[in-house]
Amino acid sequence: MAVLSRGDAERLLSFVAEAESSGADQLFTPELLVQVGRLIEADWVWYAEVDHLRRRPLVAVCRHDDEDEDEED
Amino acid sequence: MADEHPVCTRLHSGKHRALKLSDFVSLRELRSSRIYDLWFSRIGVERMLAVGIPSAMWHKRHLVFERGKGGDFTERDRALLNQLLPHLEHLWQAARTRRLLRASLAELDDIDEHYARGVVVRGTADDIEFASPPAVRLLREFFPPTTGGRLPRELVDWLDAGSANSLTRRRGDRLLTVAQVSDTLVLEEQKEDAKLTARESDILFWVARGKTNAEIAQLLWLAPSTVRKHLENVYAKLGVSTRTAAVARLFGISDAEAS
Repeated sequence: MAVLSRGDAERLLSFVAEAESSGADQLFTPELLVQVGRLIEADWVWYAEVDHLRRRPLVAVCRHDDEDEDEED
Repeated sequence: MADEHPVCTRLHSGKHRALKLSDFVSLRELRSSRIYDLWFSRIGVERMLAVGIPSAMWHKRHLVFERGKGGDFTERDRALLNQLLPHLEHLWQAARTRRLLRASLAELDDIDEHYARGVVVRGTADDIEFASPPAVRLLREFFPPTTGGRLPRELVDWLDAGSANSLTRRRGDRLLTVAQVSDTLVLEEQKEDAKLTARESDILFWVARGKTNAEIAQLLWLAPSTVRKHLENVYAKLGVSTRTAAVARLFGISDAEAS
């Protein structure tokens, strides 16, 4: 298993500290996905919540630049 | 189609470690699969790294990173996501708690200040983090002069002494009881039965039914000025200044409910 470099560990801690200090009611926002996308480079970063029993989406969030619009209900 | 997705099926089965698409299929295998034609090729995704965030069995939460044509996610990316996972879980729970608390506090904010029960959330030392409108009124009326944003000295002393028993404070015929529940103080006002005369009770009975002074005067064979005088006495005894508040006080409900 790969071990995190000192730089990665510092970036991770910095990300967590910033997310903690935001005091927001929703964690997964487009802005947070931009931040997390700086830790792990990707063309698309998204977060989803699904009601597994009823097989229906509850929340879907992506970075603003990844899609034209977010979908959330 | 999710049933054919190699990562989705693992995430839905409750795996809470970072998974790569390439853990299950090579790029060559992916490109020759049915789901590639149906899904991946259409959205231009060939690389995927995803993690399931722990939650109730019915409620699945995923954080997903995708790439088009190009290099796969590395083991460094996977290790970083695995390290991030417990923090995401903690942060999500904290955000959820904040959401619930804000909703509860908003509900408390909507309560009319004449309601007989209020709550105070303590901050550090003797600071008040939050006080519902009835609590603000009760502190103002039972602990004058109150300093905005700080608990009255008497309450601080009671808390410092351990607050094992409820604190009571009397003001006229009104009794305030303060109890501590964790970091919250619950203030409850009780009122001894106002000693209204039979005539005053009769008049208040009709006031509660929406009658005007003139109508009450007709019903009780009194002069309107006599009704008004009786009502002034009722106001004084109940410590209110309006007929709505008088009815509310008598029945122990808020003005908003009475009107």
